[in-house]
Amino acid sequence: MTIEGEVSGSTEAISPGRLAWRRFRRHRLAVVGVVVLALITAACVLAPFLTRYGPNELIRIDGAKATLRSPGARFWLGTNERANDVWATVLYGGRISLAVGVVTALVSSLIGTVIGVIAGWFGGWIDGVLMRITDLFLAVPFLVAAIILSQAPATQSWARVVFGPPNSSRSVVAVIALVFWMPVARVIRGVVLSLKEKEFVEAARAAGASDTRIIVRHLIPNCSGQIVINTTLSVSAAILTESALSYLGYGVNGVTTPTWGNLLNRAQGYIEPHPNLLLGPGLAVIVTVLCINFVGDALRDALDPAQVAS
Amino acid sequence: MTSSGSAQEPVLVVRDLRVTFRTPEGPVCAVRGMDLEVAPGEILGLVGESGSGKSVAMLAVLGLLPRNAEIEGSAVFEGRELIGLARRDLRVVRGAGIAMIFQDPLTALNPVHRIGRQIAEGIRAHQAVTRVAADARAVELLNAVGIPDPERRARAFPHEMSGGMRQRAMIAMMIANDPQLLIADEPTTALDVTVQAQILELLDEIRTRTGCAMVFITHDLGVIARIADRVQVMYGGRIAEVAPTPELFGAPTHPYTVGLLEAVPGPDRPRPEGIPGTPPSMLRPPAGCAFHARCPRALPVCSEVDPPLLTMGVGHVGACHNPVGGGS
Amino acid sequence: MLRFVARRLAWGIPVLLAGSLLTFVALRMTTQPVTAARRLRIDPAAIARYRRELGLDRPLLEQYAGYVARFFRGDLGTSFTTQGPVWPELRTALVNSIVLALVAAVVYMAIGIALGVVSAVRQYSWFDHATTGLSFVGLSLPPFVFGLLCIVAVGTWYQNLTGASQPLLPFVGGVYSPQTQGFDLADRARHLALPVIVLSVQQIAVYSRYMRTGMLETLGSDYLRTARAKGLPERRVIFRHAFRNALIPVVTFAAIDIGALAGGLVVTEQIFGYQGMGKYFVDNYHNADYPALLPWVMIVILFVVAFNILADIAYAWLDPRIRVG
Repeated sequence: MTIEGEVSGSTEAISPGRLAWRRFRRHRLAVVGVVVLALITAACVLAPFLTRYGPNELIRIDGAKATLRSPGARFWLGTNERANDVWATVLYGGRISLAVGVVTALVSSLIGTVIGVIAGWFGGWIDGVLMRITDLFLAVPFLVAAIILSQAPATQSWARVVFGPPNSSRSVVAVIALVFWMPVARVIRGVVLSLKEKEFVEAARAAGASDTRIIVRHLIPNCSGQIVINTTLSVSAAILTESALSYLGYGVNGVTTPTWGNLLNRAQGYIEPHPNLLLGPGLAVIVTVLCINFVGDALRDALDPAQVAS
Repeated sequence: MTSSGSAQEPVLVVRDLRVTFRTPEGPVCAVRGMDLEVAPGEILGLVGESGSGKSVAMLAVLGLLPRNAEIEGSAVFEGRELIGLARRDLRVVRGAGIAMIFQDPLTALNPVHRIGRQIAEGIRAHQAVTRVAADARAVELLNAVGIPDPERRARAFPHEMSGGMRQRAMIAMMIANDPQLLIADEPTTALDVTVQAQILELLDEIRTRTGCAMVFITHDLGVIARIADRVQVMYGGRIAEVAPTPELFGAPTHPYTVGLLEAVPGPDRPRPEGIPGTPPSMLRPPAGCAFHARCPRALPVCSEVDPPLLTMGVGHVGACHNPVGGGS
Repeated sequence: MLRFVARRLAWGIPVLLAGSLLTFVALRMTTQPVTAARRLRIDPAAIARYRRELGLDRPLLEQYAGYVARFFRGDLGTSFTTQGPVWPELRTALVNSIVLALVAAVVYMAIGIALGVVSAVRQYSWFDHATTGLSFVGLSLPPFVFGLLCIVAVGTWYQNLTGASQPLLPFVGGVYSPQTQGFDLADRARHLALPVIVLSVQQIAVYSRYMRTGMLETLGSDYLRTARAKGLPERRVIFRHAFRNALIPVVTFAAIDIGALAGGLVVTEQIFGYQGMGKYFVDNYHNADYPALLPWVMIVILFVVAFNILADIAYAWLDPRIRVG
């Protein structure tokens, strides 16, 4: 609507970065989310200081295995079926879950952005081929694709070299990233397509700028908002996917390395009498994902170029 | 303020209209005390730059502003006060008593409904007719506004028509219920020059045929010269000057009006001059006269005291401490 | 319009073939069907028959082509694990998934769309804030956590609270309780309840957000202002103009979303033991039951492609601007 466009507002010049920060700050939930995320990350990183047990440490009390103890003063979240301290498993598991989430998001964003930019900018048959490929992947449910891909290192030696051993963090990151880049590519391609029509691109071309220069100096900075939003939301999606994969047994190996996902898998048989086994990793995932979603939503508001007016 | 001389009651009387928008940055005063009168059958031109508040004022009268708008003042139509009127009662006036056409018919028409249906919808909102009758009437209206092959066009979608035809269709939609007042918000700005002339002719013809009054909002003085009986110039949310068209062009008194006229190229003005400076911020409206920062005739009093509306001639008022042609 | 459909089909068929081929290759590479068959102690004669049937000795492309030909002739092969035809199990899984998808879709779309519309019309009201807050939570509740939570809630907590001997809603045993014979609507419904709830919670969040965004956009559009300026009753303005236009992207999204549900809900079905397409895949993949997986792939991709085309057709039908060319 053009009404408020008719009404001239203040004409102070603020940099887009500061403008975005100001808009972000208005979303109180997102600010809280950032703080909470920082706390969670800090807690996981500082795990050795927050618990004196290891994640796989078998705890004995008076010689007997301390399995399935209820939460109390000594074990804040109780112990699990393998006599590990649940609090410790959640903290150390968080390290893997968060790391996998962040790295996956970064890798898939990188791949997706590169492909999206190429497809959008060059158009023609390159675009056609690349978009067909993304279509193919979208035809199969992505968890199914992830499951199948996760087994590649188990049977194919080349996969083992590239992805790492099966059920390792490295292979899980690779697998999820391979499934996640498609939607990113789609979105970025759309942005590039709309940017291609804008005058500043024509001006740059008329000035004789090379394709690479235009891409790097004009297109990518204008996509940066979208890229940041995508990456942020990908982190939560990646954490959820890793958890789902681990829950099904195709994620990170639960025997050696706890993650929030495989903790939930192990908990399934015992949750009824011991809901703390579910609540520990479960709440960790929910809170983390919730905060990331708040932040992502606020970022979308703050960085959306369409809302520059007012 | 005197009316244009007609003995009849004015169709619309607006007094001291104020519109303020609540925004996160603070209150934005789009309209700061505006008066307006339209006599039956007359075309009043409402002129100003973007940000002068001209569109906002008319939208406020019809209650079409977003929820963050605070409206004060009075707007009386056919003896009824419109400001603050309940929505249920306001909708009886909209589209029937007072109709409004907008600038860009491509975005102002619903892209997924056929033109004929959109017109018929407006008819059935105010008249108790069957759908068939309304559809037929819609075709008649399309014909009346000069659209060829109206039966086929009635079944078309907005994007299938040219800009000029779309605007005609919107006009047809809005005159469907014989309004007493038609508000045209920059109806020709988005069109080619040749099509502009056709639309203006159409509107003039409608006025003659039906006797409805019009408020014609524009920033284009050429359009004003062509079609308006009287002109009201607005600046910074307030009236700058009101006069019959020939007098405004011949003997303008407000420095802003003078500046506007000098900015229009003409045979005796091969190199037009713009008005230096930029429109004031409505977030922090200036004290005194809104134009004083850009005015070549500014006096010290202009930055402190809001100039009163003074009579400059018959049916001619201006708000200036130092008007052109003397008087102070 | 016909040209439009033809073009979409021309897109769909290569995607179907290429997608299934790709998946076949991936499956073939990541499973070892013969080894698995031996592990399941299947009779060597049967193994030899599989080798012949599946053409495991022949080049991949030939295997694939042969398989597709047989699929479209109606021969879906024989499963390793059951030693019987694949189709009955697959059919049951497909039906179960479709039932779950449709029942849940009715629930979450009705609720989600309604919430979205009201939130947008009453923007910034307490209702809007509450719905937005709940949507965030819904989007952040992974099904395995929420599902497990539900199990605890209707099991232990319910029983502790009320002293009942049975959980409020059954959460294992999949579609029917073991003792049910034939078609029992009440039993079916009770077993559907929890999976539907778990699926709906997340989907209501998605659809209400989507609808809200779409409605806000149309509510702020110029043509809505025109509709009001015509003096239309507010209800008509909201439904025939704002809602009608905002529905377009939601419908296309929904069509694709439902098409994807043919693949089942891998995690949710696993939690509740619901024998849908998701569980079918996981179980058979675990057993490396290659012949049971191939028709699954074909059917899933077929559904996805078909619903994608349907989504495009729906979009063109709803938005006349798209119909050009």
